[in-house]
Amino acid sequence: MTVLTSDASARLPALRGRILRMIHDAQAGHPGGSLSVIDLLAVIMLDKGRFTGDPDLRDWLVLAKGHAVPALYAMLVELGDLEEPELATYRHLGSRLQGHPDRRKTPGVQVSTGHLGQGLSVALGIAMGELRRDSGRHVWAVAGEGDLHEGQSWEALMAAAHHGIGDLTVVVDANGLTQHGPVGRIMGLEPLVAKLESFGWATVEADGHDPVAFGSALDEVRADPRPGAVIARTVKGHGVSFMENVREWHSRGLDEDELRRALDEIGEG
Amino acid sequence: MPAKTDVYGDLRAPREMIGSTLVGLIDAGEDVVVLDGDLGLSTRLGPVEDAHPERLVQLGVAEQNAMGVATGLSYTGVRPVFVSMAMFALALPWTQLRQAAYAGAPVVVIGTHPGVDMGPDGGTHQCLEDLALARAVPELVVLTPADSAQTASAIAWAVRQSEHPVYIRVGRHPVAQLYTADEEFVPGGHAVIADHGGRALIVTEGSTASLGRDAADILDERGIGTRVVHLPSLKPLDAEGIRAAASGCDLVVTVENHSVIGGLGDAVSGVVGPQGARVERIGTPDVFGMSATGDEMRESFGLTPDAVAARIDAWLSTPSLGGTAR
Repeated sequence: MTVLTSDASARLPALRGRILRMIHDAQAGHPGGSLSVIDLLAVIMLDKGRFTGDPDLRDWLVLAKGHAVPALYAMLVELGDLEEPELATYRHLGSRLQGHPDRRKTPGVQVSTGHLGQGLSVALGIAMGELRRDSGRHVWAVAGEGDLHEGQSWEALMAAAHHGIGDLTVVVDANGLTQHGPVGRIMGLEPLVAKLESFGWATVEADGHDPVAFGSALDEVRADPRPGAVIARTVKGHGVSFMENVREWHSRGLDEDELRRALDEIGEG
Repeated sequence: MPAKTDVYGDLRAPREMIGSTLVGLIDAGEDVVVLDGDLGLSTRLGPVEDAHPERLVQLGVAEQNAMGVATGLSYTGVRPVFVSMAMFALALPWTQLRQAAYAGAPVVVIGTHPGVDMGPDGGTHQCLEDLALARAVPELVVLTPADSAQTASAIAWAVRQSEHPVYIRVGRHPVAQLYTADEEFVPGGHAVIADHGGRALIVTEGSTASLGRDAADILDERGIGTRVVHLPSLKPLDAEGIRAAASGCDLVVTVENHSVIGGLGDAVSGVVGPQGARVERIGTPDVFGMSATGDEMRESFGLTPDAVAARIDAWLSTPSLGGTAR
């Protein structure tokens, strides 16, 4: 199970480039959280999960932090569900690429999300349903710290452990910065590992920007019969120096100059 | 077997059918999973617990999570049925239900104890707003069955389809039996449950259907002939049927166990109002409920046959401010 190399690593510059161009073309979007989560999605969807082939046999990906949808669209191009040119329609009138994931509009999007705190419950329901049919389809839910500010997330975490739903992995994109400021100042969540452990989850912390280390953490919690959580420590706006850890880049479009500078930094100029 | 407190002579509380109907559907092969938020005694889930304990998933007092779990289950082909009191089945997790509808998730939500049916628990728990909240959600089917038999057939219809999310409003208050078990449920229609004449059309939702019928009987004894219609669903709404039933009537009266804001009255007004019909609404006014028995609440808010008949009599005796329904 354990892979010491990562297919995802080589693809990250191209994936980041798609995110930046999309948000530039839309003149709106959420670049910070998309750039922190893309490394996690790449490892989950390219290295660890089953996201190609028959859609009825694939694993499930629930992007609870739905505002980071450019990262999901970038992945869907990688997986062949979308074609690159369509990304330019993100957030435009009539587009299949909505501002938050929409399973009814976008090929490859499995679950509609957007209201923080609701994604983990939906992921739990899917995992319960797949368990009923013994399908072996794993459910991966990717949450942000904002999701964990919503009480419903903790209802879902409690219920998953209570019902012993092991085929569910929650990844927290812990970039430490919500819209208005540092998480610790907005509403402290730490010690997150201890909290999740106390809720009955096998929980491991990892560097979210180290694909091998993050992949090993996923392997470790999946090997545990309890539901698994990985607290992925990430950097908001990762890879673009002027965006990193700057709250204004939570939600903002890029102008021509910013796009050029950002693409240069990630090696996609 | 119906619980004792659901049967009062000829009157029965429609909630008596919830558990037994779900057991029947499971026995018939439907992939039903029932979600409970620790209210299974009040919502009559005992039969499921007894016959198919593995189909009753207990989620505790956490309704937002329950609605999300229902959404996820529906994606895997399971038919999730979340059962709670109207306040906690619909009002509390409203955004979660809205998101389910947005995502096209065919969840089934059963809300019991609607309107003043919660009685002594008081204004905190009396959900006088569920129809308004439900009607506002696009694509949500809103069912208002009138009695035990129709409650069973409405639940069966909702489970057997998988195209729409469905809210089913199921009364706690015992009512007369108007339908028979062999009638197939069809959303979107209307049923004429009494027809003494065309002075007024009385339009009812499920938990006021027998009330409307009894009021029409009283009016008939006074020589005032009215027609009573029950709407088994508010969405879809049988606009053509309502207009046809109202044709020639001097007055259209809506009677609902709900606030006069946003529910049956607004739905019917939107249909016959543009035709110039005079529409009057009977329901709870724009206030919160309070602790009292359900019967006392009905007395207070004029939701009794005598009070409804008296108001209709008075309206018919005063000149119309609007036109006549055509």
